Amino acid sequence: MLDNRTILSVRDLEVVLPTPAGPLRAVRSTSLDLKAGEAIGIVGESGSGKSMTALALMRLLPRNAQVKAEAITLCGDRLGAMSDRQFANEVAGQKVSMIFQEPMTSLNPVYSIGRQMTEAATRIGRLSQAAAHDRAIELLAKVGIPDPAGRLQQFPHQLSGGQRQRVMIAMALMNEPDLIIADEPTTALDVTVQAQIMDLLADLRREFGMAMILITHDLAVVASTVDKVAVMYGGEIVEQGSCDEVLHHPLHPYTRGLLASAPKISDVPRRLGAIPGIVPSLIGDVTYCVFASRCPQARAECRSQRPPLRELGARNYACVLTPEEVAALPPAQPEIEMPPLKAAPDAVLMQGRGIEKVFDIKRSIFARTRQLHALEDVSIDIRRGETFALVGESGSGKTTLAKILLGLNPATNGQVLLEGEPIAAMDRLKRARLMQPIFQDPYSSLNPRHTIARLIGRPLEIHGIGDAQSREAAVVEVMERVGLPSRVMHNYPNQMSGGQRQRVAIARALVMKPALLVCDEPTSALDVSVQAQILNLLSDLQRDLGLTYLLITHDIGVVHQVASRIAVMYLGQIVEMGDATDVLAAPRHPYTQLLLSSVPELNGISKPRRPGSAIVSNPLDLPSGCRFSERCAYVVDACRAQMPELRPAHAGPQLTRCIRDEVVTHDLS
Amino acid sequence: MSVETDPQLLPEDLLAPSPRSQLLHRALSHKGLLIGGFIVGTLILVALFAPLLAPHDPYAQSLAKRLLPPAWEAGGSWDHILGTDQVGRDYLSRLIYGTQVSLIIGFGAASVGLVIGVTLGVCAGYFGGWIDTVVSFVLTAQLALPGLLLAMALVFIIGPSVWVVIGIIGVLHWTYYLVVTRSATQRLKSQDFVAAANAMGASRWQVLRSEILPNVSSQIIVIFTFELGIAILAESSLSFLGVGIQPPIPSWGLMIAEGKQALFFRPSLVLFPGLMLFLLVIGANLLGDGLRDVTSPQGRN
Repeated sequence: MLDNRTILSVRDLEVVLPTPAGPLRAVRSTSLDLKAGEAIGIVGESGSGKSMTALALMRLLPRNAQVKAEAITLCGDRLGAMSDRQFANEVAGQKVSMIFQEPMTSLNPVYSIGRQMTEAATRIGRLSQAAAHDRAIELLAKVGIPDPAGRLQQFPHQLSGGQRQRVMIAMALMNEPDLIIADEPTTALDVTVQAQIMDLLADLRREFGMAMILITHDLAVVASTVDKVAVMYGGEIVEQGSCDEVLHHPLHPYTRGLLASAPKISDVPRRLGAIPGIVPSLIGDVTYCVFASRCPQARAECRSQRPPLRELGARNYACVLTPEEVAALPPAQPEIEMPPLKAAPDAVLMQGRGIEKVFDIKRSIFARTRQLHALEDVSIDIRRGETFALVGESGSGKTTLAKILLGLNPATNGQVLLEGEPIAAMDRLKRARLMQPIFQDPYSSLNPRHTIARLIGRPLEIHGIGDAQSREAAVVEVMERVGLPSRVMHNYPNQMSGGQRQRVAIARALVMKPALLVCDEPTSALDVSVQAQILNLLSDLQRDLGLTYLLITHDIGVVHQVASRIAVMYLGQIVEMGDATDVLAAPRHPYTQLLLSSVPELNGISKPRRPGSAIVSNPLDLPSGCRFSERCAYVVDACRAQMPELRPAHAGPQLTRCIRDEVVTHDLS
Repeated sequence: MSVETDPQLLPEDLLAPSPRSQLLHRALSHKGLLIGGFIVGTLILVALFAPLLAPHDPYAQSLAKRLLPPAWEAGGSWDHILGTDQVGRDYLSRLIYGTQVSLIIGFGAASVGLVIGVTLGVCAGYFGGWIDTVVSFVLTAQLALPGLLLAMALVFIIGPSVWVVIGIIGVLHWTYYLVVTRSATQRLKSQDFVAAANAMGASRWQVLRSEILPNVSSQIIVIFTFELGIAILAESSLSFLGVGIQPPIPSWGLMIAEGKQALFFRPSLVLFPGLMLFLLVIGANLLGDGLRDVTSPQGRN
């Protein structure tokens, strides 16, 4: 299907949401064009209006939202003139389908997969029940669901997250739509699953000749999947053009900043170029450049008038700077390499020895107790002054391990030593002075009922350090340290942005001057520009205060940016451990290899995807021998015979739990 | 446009006022809170200054002036503005003195229930395990008992007095507190800020007091204002059955109970204490909702 007809054309879309504070102009003068078979990526941080745009196109906005547009045409039909009923009967789910972010909640749990899929086609009388049934089976097979006919009888809870998203995609394809809108289709999924879903979408697009709008916050996901990119900020498209040009020669300062703040995994880690500040509120008329408050190149005129839309062939951007001026700017990401972290191998701060955690699972009083081995034989050393990263996908046991290392949960077996002393026997105040946590979600890690000053000063209060005055002085000092102005002292957490809250959490952890910070996904709830601020802050603090970090994350980019040593976890075991440079450059375990090859990269070169299935084994029903054997492409009979030990790799300096690590390496070259 | 008036920068330039002045500002701009506070405050003042406000002795009987109608009806006199009851006591004076007993019973019983219910609820929710099982069993047992019958039996055994009535009504009205605080605590327990408090070395008591309790306070306030009205009504049922406040002490509940005998030819005897009760419950609810709005973080910003 290589016709050149325009599928979708949007001119000057506006979305206004009435709020108690005034009209919120969530989307302003947004124009898009999409040809058949073309894919556009709408990229932006939270609050940029990218989802609003999609919801407005699908007429899924709340009733009180006002949507205006000069013209919206879909396959030649003017959507603006259509009534809601007509739209629902003729367009939604037929010409346009949508795939949502949360596969866990976007399928109805009380209906079978088959019923939900066939309903989409039979409701409008497009297909007979039997034909719809056949098509559903065909599509499930196409999206890679094994045993599709059997699956039709199943209910959503019987499928994994990745499988549900595949079902959602199959459902969206039931009526052969001309356009698919995918709103963060892989954000809730693990990276190995994400890679497969993105490949699937690209294949299907090619096969059916559909146009696609891919909405995501992740630039790297866009890089390898779409033809065109629209970068949104504050409700406007600030830059639009071909994927290649926008990502490699960005013209708008926001695009430049965004690219500079994303950690890259194929390079020597350099200090990230963070975008200062937070997204402004868009209440009332916008008569200025929305990015001016965060723009390093902002001029006086940026604050008083809207920037001109500059057109350069097929691309455009809205900025006062001409392309020549942009070319003369210094690079947005500073040319500062991250300082290498040197830690003496004998200066061990924390040690975990043979940690094991078993949960007893009982579905009802009379059911047989089943044991879930969340952690098995985990031994790590964390050396003073280093950043030790625990990497793994969901279900790998990394958060369980963090809780045990923090002394918040007891281990079933094994021991945690902090400065040589067993943590279980340690006084809780002493432990708190040596080690502090930073949690993933700054919305749940701060008590909403306390002011910022009280939150940060609370550890001092608990430890009875100083009086009210000296505590306040300490709070102000540590706030300055993490880049929080002291005037927010009396604010409550809900008055602050995600990045500011995470700074509060860091300040609270630092106020006791601990030696070790345990950071559990410290940036995964944050936008990429804010993530860069926090990562830079963490490395500055490490340099200035000589801190040691235990970093728990699923994000390989973050690991590459800050880690000095890595342990990769899979189903409760460490499968590979060693220096970050060694492990990331030449992994010696098939799982690490699969993980690394699944990470999308900004340069858009589609890497040869490492073989291996994305389906994680059931932790209650583990395979015999190596736990990765069910997914492994290199598996031999010996793997299934016996659980491999973590031992020095044959072909590298790291430790690995694979008996054939030399094969993994050979395959890489 | 200068930088100072830039709409994007304006919130950044404002200094956050101290928590106390923020609270005061929010309180003064909340209409429901002001009206509720006014009603409850007035009633408290009436109770405190009852001897000064009451035109007559609330206990003085005069059989000659039995069942006088209110002043504005035919046969009424301005000497007894709201008329008199069956034994000729001034109804207005009894209402004013009744405020004392009713407020004490309402606040007292609701507080007794609060202490029992919140303690059990927070402990059950936070500790879980066998404590939760025991508390849940006690709750089930309490819900299975007929409350009024139990109250009657207890008053009968212990003997009626204002304090006994408060205690018994309180002991019978803690289930709402328990159910709500238990589930709220279970939800809060898994929040990261509780883990953070544990990691900073806080004891269990410190975690409960400064992490859990402040976050269930808004629910507690709402149930308290609700239970306040329930307690006063429960007192009136007890009084009606003759096991509540003992005559001749004036209480609204007792007055309603006594007035029922003459309901058909002097409805005002039931109407006036009923109106007072209505005012108190409305006032307390407005006050409670207002306090919740003003102190909860969602009301900020």
